Amino acid sequence: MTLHIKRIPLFFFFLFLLVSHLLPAQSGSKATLSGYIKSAGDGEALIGAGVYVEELKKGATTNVYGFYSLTLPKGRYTVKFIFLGYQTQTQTLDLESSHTVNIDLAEEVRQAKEVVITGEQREVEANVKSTQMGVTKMDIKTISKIPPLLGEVDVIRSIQLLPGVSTVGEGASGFNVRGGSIDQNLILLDEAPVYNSSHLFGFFSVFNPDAVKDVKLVKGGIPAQYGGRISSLLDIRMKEGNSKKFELNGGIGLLSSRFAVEGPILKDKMSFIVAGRRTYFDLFFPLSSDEQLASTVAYFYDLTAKVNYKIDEKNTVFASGYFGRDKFGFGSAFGFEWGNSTTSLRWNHVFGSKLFSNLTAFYSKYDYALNIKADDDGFNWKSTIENQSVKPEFTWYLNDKNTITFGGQMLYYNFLPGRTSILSNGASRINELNRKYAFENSLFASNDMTVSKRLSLTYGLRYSNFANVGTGTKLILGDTTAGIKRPVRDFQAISSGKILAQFGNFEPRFSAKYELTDESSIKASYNRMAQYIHLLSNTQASVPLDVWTPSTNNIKPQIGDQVALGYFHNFTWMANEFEFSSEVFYKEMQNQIDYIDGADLLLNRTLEAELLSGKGRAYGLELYLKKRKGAFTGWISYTLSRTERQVSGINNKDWYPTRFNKTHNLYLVGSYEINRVWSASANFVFSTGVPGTFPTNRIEYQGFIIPHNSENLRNNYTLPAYHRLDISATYDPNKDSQKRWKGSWTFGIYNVYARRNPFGIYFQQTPPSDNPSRDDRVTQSTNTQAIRFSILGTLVPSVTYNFTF
Amino acid sequence: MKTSIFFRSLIGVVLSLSLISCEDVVSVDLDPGQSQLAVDALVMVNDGPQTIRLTMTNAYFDNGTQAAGASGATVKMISSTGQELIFAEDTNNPGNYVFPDTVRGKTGELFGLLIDYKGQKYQSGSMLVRGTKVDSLYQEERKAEFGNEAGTYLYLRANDSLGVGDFCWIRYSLNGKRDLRPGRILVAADAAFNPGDADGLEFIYPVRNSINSNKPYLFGDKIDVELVSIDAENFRFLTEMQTQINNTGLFAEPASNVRSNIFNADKNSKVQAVGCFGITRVSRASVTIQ
Repeated sequence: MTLHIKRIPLFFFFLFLLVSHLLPAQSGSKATLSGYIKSAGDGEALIGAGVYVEELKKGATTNVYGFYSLTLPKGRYTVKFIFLGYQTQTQTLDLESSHTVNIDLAEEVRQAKEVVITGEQREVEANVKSTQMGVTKMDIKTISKIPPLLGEVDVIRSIQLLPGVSTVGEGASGFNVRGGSIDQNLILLDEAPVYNSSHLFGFFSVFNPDAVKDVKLVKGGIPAQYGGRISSLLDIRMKEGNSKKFELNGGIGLLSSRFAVEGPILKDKMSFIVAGRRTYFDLFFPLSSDEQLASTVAYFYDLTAKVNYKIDEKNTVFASGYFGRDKFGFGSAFGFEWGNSTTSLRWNHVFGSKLFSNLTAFYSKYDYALNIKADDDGFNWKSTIENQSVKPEFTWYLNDKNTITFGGQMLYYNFLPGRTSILSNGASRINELNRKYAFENSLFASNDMTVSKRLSLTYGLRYSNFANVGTGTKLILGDTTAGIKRPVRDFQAISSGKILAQFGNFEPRFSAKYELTDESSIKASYNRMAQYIHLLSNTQASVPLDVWTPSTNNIKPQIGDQVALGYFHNFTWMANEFEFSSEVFYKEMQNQIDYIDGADLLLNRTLEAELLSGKGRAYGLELYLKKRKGAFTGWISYTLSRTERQVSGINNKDWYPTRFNKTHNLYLVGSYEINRVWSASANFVFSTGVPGTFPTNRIEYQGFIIPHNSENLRNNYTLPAYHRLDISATYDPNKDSQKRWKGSWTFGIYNVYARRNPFGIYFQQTPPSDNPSRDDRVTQSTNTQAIRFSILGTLVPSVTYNFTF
Repeated sequence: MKTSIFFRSLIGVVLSLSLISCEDVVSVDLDPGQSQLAVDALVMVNDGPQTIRLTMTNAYFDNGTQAAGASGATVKMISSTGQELIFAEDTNNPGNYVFPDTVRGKTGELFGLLIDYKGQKYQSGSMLVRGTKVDSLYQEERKAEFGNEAGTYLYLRANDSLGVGDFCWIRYSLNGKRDLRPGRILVAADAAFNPGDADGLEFIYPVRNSINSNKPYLFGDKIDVELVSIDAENFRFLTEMQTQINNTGLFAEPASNVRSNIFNADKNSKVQAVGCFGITRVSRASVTIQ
């Protein structure tokens, strides 16, 4: 591994050598235009806004902080600043030397009529023009139009309507991207990773929609500055807070209420946002005369806060925090809670006009605790994963042909896989599974290169190095025999600072775009990703108790290689604007974790002996057609795909579909503005059922009936298809009024035709009667039956009142 | 009484997510699969005649038909101290193989089970453990709480010995009838549920309480409790069985076969048996609810 480290400077040296020969010999004839583009209404930075130079017919877009930089030959230009949903601003600029132009764009006046997208807008449209593929952005306005479950506007549920994304069902936490498991998604909230994105097991996601500005899902061609998960990046950016005026937003729903305050601290310089959400039905419990109910605890909450301070033209700092928790319990007798917290500090600095830097430092933690207490008896259990990281990142707008991004990241992990204490009749035992410590360090560089008007490339390399370090215990295991726990040969103590296991990986990233016309392009990409931490979960839906574990001498890092090819086309048809994309992908995944039959994942000292390692592959076709403007907006998404694994010890070492394999996924999402006060939305979801393992035979053992598959197959059946229709209507009488207090009502029905979609089909002995006679209290039939388990057995109506002040 | 309706509706909201989920019995066509030899061999020392039952597995939905006994096998047990115990088929009960005397053994003694059936030789091994004894059963009146009705409940007291690896299967009969409901497979490891977690302690509360359901025992009920001390392999078999026969709901695990500890002597043979063999010690206690 020392060899690896020595190679890194060499790699960067060559990269810069490569880039530097692209530098123009003379830069004296050019000047740079740079600055920030923000929303005039609330001062929020606009991500992906376009800067278009009419004379040269070329442009640039803003980064996630709203910053742009464009190098042009000196001269006089007509420059347009463009962002969908905002009024385009045109400025005539004499560019004799580099200078800063900060722009505030005003929102478009509401209009239901169709708007034809202009040529300039076309020039900066990401779908066709950007080199990146496999990317879908969703702003919070789109997300809030999607019919909600129980009135909760939900980021994760919304991205599950995009091509290539699926879920095993309602109530299942997380999401699956292009055949990857849920732990293969890097979920970043203002750059800090979120380890469990679910409230209430998996019904709702942890992100408060009032505090979210922008959501971007990257499924392929993942840029070099991101790494650590092999399937996708979900980049969630929080609002900065209105820097112009104070604003209150909130909502009262059946399940929870939300409240957000934002406003300037120093006008146009410093602003904040604080947003909270809490379920509240439990607040009424203590009023109950029923003692049991009065002591019941069942709620979740989350709190999001952010402050930003624009020190001067060159420096802006941001501090953001998230704290969320789910709690369940009965008085002091029983308690179960879990939650994430993240804190990130960021400093944006612009060197000159061409070098943009962002320095992020974050802390992230996920923990859970289970407590049972009764007089002299009790049990408690906790587990945590903690992270600290520093990530400097630079974007160098080198010239009009090259934009170079480079930087590094240092990540420190501290895992507490489990600590239990048991009290039995006054005597106690404490057991702590060894803490685990690890460093994940990386360096990255990439270049966005415009080769010609039609061809552009993004190429980069990331080097990641993972070291699992002491104090710790190294488990030495014997060889794998199919179906049997690996024998434990030795426990080796690793002292503090010594390395238990170390891995290094070069991760090349590449994407290319070729424009066929101004409205269409083809793109290709390849990326390799390495993942060093793994969520061990062997249940159909991940549980909050699932444990993240680092790579060790026995658990190799997961490696994912993906190639994708796509065709992108924006067009006008019958005076309607459409965006179309189609992509095919093929992904290979190494060192996928599976479990020996009957593996025990919780509080297991020799857990590593029960893990299996195998190969994965996924491939598919994604089609996406979106109508973006006008009274009716929406999209159709269709995915045809397959995801499989091959693991020695499972399914007789034959390939088998993973438990989230779904052949067809069709999503229809639409929203229509009926008139000035009413709007309606609907979505329809159809997907092939997930696979299940069904028995063939029954074994009689000591009076019990055990299901058994005589061929020892895995996922040998496909469950019936999943389909669902959701609708909602919003009544917003004050849309255009000048009143400060504006309220609106949203009415929704989830699962309109009350389909009982199968989450699973299970096999069991016919259960005994609920009210048996005295003699039959322990009587059990040896008959067997199949049952279909549906998370939602019916339709779910909801109503929410939203307000802004 | 309006308030109670109010609160009930609030509970409704709390539980709505669990209440709106539902289970329906559905009909599913299953592959018939291959019938295999199933071994049900829970042998207890110091406990009189012992029976090993061999059957052929049925199709999963063969309801109403008991698995046919596997007749004509040779069944014997050997041990590390040189014992050889022959189990002879009971002519009245095909598939039942009986050792007519008491099985004796020492702690740490290894027992092998050898089965010769239809040209295949199967074998298995199990170790006799030191065993945990029932200390006492005691009654307690409880008020209604946490979904349990008010009434008389029964607790099983026992002390785990120091040293990791004491496993038990707790079984009980109510008025002479053994509780065979799948949800009532009760196992303990070192006084708790996970080896080592509560080593050397008195059985922890949930284990003590495990012989209760959410309904109280009634006056005059006779409860016979058996604490069967088993080896680690049998504990593994039972925990897997516990998972697989109760495997439903949101957090179900992928269905998989319960791994048997019976192996074909010919490692390459495609013919495999299922089931479990264990040499065990049993400790019993009975009580009549007063």
